[in-house]
Amino acid sequence: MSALLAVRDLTVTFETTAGAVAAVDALSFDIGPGEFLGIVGESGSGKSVTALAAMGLVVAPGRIAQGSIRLGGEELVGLPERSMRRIRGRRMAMVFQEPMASLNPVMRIGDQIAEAIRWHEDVSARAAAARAVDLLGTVGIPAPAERARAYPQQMSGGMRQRAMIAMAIACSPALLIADEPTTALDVTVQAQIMDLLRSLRERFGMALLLITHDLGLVAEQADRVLVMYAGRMVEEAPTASLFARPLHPYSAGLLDSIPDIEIRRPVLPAIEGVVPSLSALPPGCRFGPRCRFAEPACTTADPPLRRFGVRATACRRDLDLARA
Amino acid sequence: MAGYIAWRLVSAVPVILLVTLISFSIMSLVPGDPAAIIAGATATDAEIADLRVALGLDRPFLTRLVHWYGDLLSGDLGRSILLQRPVAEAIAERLPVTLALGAYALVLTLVFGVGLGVVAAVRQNTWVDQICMTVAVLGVSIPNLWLALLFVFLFAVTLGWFPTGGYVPFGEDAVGALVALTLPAISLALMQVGLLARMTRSAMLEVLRQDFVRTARAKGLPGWFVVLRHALGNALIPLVTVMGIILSLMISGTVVIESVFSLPGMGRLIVNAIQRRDYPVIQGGLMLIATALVLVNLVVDLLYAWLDPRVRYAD
Ligand SMILES: Nc1ncnc2c1ncn2[C@@H]1O[C@H](COP(=O)(O)OP(=O)(O)OP(=O)(O)O)[C@@H](O)[C@H]1O
Ligand SMILES: [Mg+2]
Repeated sequence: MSALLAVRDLTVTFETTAGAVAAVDALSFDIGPGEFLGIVGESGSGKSVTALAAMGLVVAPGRIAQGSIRLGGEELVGLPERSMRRIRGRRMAMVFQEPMASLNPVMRIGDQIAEAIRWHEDVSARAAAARAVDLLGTVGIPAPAERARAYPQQMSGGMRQRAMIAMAIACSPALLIADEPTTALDVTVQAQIMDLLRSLRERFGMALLLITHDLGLVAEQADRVLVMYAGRMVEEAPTASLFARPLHPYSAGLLDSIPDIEIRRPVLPAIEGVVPSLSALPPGCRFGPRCRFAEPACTTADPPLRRFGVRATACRRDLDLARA
Repeated sequence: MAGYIAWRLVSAVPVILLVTLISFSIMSLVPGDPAAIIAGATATDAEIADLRVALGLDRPFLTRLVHWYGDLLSGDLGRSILLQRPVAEAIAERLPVTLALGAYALVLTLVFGVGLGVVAAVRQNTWVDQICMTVAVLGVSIPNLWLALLFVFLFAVTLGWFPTGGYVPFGEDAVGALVALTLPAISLALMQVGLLARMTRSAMLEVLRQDFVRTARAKGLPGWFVVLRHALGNALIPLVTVMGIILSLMISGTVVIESVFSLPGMGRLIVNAIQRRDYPVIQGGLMLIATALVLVNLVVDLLYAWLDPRVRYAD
């Protein structure tokens, strides 16, 4: 199967007062056509930066220092802005975390959707406006014709996020990236938005890259999960295998801290400690200082990512743990 | 929205009443006998007495006030002592010059102020930004008067591109009028350009780092469109308030500029009236300027509501 999105050795650095730090460090992964990939990790692990890099939206002081991002075989790193613009919003679209801040407060919702269509397709203003209304209906907004004339602040958070999704799917992209689309919403609305994303994916055959810090959100739906920690991939696995047996202590910790009672496992406290600052990474394994299973050897060498068939992990004790 | 407009219009009425009251009172507030001051040191007692009657100063304050408001309603601002003609007529003749100068300077201010600010913000921390902001700082810190004189010397006296002063009515020669007003308008605009450019830059920087700008880019819109439609559309809202200040500064700036370029506008009318103590003209002029300021603020508030749906739809 040839990948829809193929990311290889991606490194994104940010210039800071303490020198350049790598927010994403030598990351490689694939998303197949129509596939649902979840990227999970605590705050600051580099999830958003990965998504922005794919969209070509990394701005100064950040830059893609090395690596390759291919969409349908076409290299995006180094692509001129003019060509990148034709890909954004048309073949690959993104939904952001804060639906209020992510919509223009002085523009009508319908206009914000229609303009995405008009810049990519040769349609009249009237046709684009009509399609915007249809899209609002598609994402489950009642009275879409009326809502299209509303301003963002006249809508609830859930409605705004639906509008954001309508905007993102306006040109039927092959890949939809959703960066923590439900974090700012309350629990019932979260479930509705996740249902919407699933049904849209089925209906339009889009691939979905869902970024979240909540493993519970990807548990039932994602095909595969990629776990990130401090800019690195620490584990990649089909969702079922990851939930059955995580190979990395960090993934295990994330699994334990899922609050969802439906997944019946004893809820342990969240992983102790915090993600290290990128400018002050610990020696050896980046997760070492927080790891229950760390041994002295873990602090000497950075564990490489090792692949086992469809799975991969970056822990030197993986096999011991798998047996434990 | 309609309710808001109505409320703002109604609330401007007491302010305008107060303004007219103050304009009227200045003659009674000057220390000593206004008639004697106006008539001058060489006047005889009889002349002063006549003047007092002509100005209506022999009647009680309240009677005069009622008359003043009555006349005001019928558009009568009294007679100029100096010009020997109705004040309203003198103002009607001078006002178009000032309005033309102000409109010209306002257009220049908006185009260059907003333009420089947007370019500087988009190219933040580059040499382009530095140049734009240097121009802005110079514009703010160089006194209008000095700059106006410099322009007259350079472009009018030395290069001969523009007249050194004077005015051609638009009705007679529109191009000539524009040429005659160019140097005055530039001089008047420059200080405001600097102010507006700096305000635009900071407002744009504030907006450009917001999430919805990233959303606009994620839709695949071209960079210039994101800047003008999405970023500037939001940055204009705080700038409207600045425009109120800028217009007020410009109204006072016209007085200086009209004198330097010998333009027969309102500013010069009032300056001359003050020098010669022509109270009826001073009163009429002050009232007009103050009313203009009130109206500017009214328009700014309405513009604010028009630009920002969060104000428009807040009930
Ligand atoms: N504009 C920036 N300037 C400097 N550093 C940045 C910038 N944006 C991101 N970073 C760095 O990249 C790291 C990863 O950021 P990123 O936004 O990808 O985290 P995340 O995994 O999406 O976290 P969250 O769950 O909080 O969204 C940050 O910790 C920070 O060090
Ligand atoms: Mg993030």
